[in-house]
Amino acid sequence: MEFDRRTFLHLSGGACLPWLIPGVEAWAFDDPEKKQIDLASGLRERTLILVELQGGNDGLNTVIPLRDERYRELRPRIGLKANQVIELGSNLGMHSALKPLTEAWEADEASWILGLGYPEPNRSHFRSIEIWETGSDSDEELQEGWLTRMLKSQPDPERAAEGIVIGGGDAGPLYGTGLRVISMDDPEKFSQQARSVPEVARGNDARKALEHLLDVQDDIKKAAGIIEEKIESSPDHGVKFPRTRFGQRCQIAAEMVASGVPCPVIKLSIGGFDTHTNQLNRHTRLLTELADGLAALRKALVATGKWDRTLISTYSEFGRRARENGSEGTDHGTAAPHLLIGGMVKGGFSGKQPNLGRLVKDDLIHTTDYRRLYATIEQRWFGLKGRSEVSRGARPLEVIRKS
Amino acid sequence: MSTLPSILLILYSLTSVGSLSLDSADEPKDLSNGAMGIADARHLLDRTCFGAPQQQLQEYAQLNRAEAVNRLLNTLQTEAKTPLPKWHEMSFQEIRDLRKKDTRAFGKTQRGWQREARNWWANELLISESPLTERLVLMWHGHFTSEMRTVKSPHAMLRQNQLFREKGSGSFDDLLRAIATDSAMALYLDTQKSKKGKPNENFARELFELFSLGEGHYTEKDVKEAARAFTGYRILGSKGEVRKVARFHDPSVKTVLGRRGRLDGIDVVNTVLTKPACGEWIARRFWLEFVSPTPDPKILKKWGKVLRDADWDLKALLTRILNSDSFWSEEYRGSLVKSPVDLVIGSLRRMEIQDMPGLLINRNLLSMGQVLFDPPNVAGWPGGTAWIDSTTLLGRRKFLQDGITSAMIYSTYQKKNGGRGVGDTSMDPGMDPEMDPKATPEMNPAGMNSPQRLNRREIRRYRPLAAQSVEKMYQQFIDGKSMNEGAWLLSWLPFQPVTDADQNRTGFGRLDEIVLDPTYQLK
Repeated sequence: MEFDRRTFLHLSGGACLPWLIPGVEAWAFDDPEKKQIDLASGLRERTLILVELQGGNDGLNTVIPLRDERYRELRPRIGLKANQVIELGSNLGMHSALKPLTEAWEADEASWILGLGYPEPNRSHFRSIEIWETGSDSDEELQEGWLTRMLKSQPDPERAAEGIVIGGGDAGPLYGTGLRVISMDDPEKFSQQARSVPEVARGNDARKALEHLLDVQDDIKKAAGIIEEKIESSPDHGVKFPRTRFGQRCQIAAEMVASGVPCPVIKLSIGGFDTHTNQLNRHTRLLTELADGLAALRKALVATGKWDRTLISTYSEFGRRARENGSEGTDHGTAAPHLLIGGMVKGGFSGKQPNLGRLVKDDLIHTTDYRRLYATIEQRWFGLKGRSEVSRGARPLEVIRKS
Repeated sequence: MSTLPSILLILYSLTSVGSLSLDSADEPKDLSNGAMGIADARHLLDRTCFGAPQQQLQEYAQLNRAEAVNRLLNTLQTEAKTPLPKWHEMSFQEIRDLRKKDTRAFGKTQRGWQREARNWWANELLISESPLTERLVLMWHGHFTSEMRTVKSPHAMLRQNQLFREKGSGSFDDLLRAIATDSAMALYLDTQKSKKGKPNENFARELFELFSLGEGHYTEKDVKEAARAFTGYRILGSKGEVRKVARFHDPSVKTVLGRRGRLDGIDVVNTVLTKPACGEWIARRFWLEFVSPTPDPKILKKWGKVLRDADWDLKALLTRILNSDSFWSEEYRGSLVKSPVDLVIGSLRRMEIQDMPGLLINRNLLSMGQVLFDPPNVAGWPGGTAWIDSTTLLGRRKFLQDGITSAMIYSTYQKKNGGRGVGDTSMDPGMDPEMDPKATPEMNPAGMNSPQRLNRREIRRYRPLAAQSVEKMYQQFIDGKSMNEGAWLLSWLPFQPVTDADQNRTGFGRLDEIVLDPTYQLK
């Protein structure tokens, strides 16, 4: 099956070309055979870069309801003043630390999806990130990441891996069996070290820990081979990345995408968003690191012609309590906005800002099911047919340009 | 399975109890009168200690299981072998004064102390005469987590570390009460800042979810009410004692886990201790640490009851576990992935290397994803297969390939040269895993930025001597009572190697064929 599909692609190369251009919708074709071909092309041509904001980002101080008096009442000490907010229209503004992203915003390449969350929100870091990463309901436990469910039916042996995790952190939405997920700090060091890993003939071994180890060995060898070859001819983007941890991770992501390493998902993370105390300074520092890194990433991908093939999306376990706590911080909360940014993104706001007049125990009520973000990525970004096991019935948002 | 040749036969002939069926009742029973053999000895010592030197393995192999467990439990200690760093004795006032005098200089000094604290513990893990005690300290550190990167104060972190040593094999109720008023915890989970009218939920939530009950045994309302009970706790004493301060404490009536009254934090802890779920949650922690990644709920119930019936005596629980069928079951052998500490400390202990500086131990742990005093988050290290991803596996292999060899060459050099300058890592500016995520995992002391590094000539000279010591170790083993090549492998690995072992290799090659086999990553 796999072989046939590739052979067909190869033989009919010229005829297929228009379909491979990003943005052409798969379901424009009726022939099921052709549809199959095109479904895979979105995954082949496009990259999703996920950015996990670890600890629960305070959405209400990220996208700020400028003229809402209740905002100041809820946050007398940590509420942002007018001069700490960049106005974006619709009575909303973003934290001034996100200034490096204004270029993308003005180019209509950044979209804030407002009020993302789910009913009966869980306020535990671990359970809530599990919900976000598996795409489950609040009271449901799923064993696989939502991207795992999306990708495992779309195998492609030519990929270096299904996912690359850069700079530590776990596989998150790529968790589960059936995917090859590589994590690395530095591609060159990675390839070099991979050379000494032995090939082990596989038995039918039921021992789970050992099986996992051998799987990782195989994944390393395969990915290293492909990455090494691609990186060798990596184009020069000429961008100087910030020397922060997150900045360095963005640089490696840029290198991967720019050199065309075949891999549909890259996951980055930035930690420290659990701002229970002394939030103002810490949050400013974190958002600055985030925005500086993403802005550099954008520049590098624009310079190498890959920006239209890249979609960046943030996510986090929850937003934070609307009402500030007594330690000039915020406790675990619920809904929050997230950022989509990329060359094909339709800029602006999507969804509705949660109503500060209707709080439940000082927490926001979500306005957009978080799985609409996943449906968007699945259907509008990768051009896959919507499947309920990924989107759980949520509809995609119209935030991706067609071409 | 038909390809398993002599190895399994040897295994069965060495263990006096052949195959064990998993008894669901899991009652301890008289397991055996005879010697348990090398495979069992390795199993026991890999899991409860951090491996063991060869001679100890061979001694344990001569005991029956019950005797071995008994002997092991008698090694428990409540104090560290090495004295704590000198600055540890400073009072809070002294530290505060120092900070006031020059904030920037203090920051630098404090980072230095943090490094020393890490290096101190790494060294203690390596040379402690009671590795079982240190395993429990490490287990509790991953259970009642605090991160030094958040807490900042190395004084508080070392105090907490000592608390785990003092009470980690004593009574769990004591331990839980002590943790509720521990200074590092107060800083880590914000009780220090929680006050009447403005309660902070952080500690209350983790107390229920991670420390004592687990999800499903409390409600959101319990968290909110308990947070009020924990208001007003402040670090006051000169050695960081935490006390309830009336003017910040909310004395009003609360209802937590069904108990109603003017509860304070300790009342909440005492209420938690009346719940059966608490015993089971702790039994679960021990199961994950000592038995397998997949707890059996029926047995956890029993173990939880054992713990409560023994007035929370943790040693009673441990005795029960180490004598249980579950612990010895063939089914679970090799089901746990060695943590970086297991891998590094275990390999060094097995090779009888006692002089690896804490700094280098930590650098290696970092390359495998474990930083002492800095678990990734409040849930601690996830452990199991999560230890192995493509980055950490390469870090592990690098240590096993080059690290052990270098350490042995270094150790040989030290022995021949009177062991001067060993272990003084406080001067080394290189180690700060936090600040330098890309610190080279290089452990070759020759490449080390310190006064006692070896030059190339010295390495050439000492390398063959070090290789000889591997050979000597092997010969000593084989000459031991009823030991042979198969037993040699079983003294290292939980089951048959999966790469082709070339039996003709000698010296470092003999070592490589074992430690580079994927099964050496398991215990």
